[in-house]
Amino acid sequence: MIGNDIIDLNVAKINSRWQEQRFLDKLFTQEEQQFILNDDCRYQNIWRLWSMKESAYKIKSRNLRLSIFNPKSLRCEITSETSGTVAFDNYTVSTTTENNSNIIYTTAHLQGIYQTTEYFELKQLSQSYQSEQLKKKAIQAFGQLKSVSEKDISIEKDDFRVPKFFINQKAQANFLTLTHHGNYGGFAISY
Amino acid sequence: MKKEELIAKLKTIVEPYIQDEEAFKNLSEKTNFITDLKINSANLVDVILDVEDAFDIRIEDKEMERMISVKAAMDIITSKIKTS
Repeated sequence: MIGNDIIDLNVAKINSRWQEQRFLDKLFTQEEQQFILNDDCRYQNIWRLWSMKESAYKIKSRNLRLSIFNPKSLRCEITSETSGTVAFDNYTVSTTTENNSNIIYTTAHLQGIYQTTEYFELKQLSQSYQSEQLKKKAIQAFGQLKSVSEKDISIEKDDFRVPKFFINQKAQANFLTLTHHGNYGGFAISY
Repeated sequence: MKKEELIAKLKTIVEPYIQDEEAFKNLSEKTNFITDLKINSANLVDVILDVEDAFDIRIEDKEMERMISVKAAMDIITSKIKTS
């Protein structure tokens, strides 16, 4: 099971009330707020924790079908510069976060083998362009993993809006997760 | 407050965050903030803070959990305005 989340740091600023204490209180536990306010990277810290929660929430809602949206019930712990965990209910997922001055990108996984995760810039902002590009990139990567021609692979969403790979119309067991925000997108695949 | 007024007020609150113009134009009680309007989940909190300020109410975490559609938001706001 796998989940990912990308945040375009230039877009996250727009309209957001992230500087306010009330914003922090609605999203983050006391421990998480301590981490956020611990150094002068408040903005980066907020979105790092948020991308961890969001990628873990994808596993919670899509793979485990527990759909209640309560950000504080997903509890983050930072274990190194790039890694962390998110705990909810009886589960703990591992996360890996990459970042640069433009983006923060987290991949969360629970059980199974974590195969590939990638993020990239998307030149246009339209929803249809972005979802096409994401699918194209994911299909390329999956074709290489499986040694299958790209034209035999497709991606369809199931009844729970979870994307799945198909090879010659046959559903594959692999987990796939897609994310996009602002000018960036990413995908991750696992067994 | 009349239902139409409430919807109109909500519409101006969510406008800065929407990513689907078509769904926004056709906004109704049934509209879902995430799946229809494509509001980024981080911005949902901004919507909730803006709702709190616009109606001078406070929304509890339990209520925030289910505030993902226009209908749910209207129910929560209406119950708060009445009891205050």
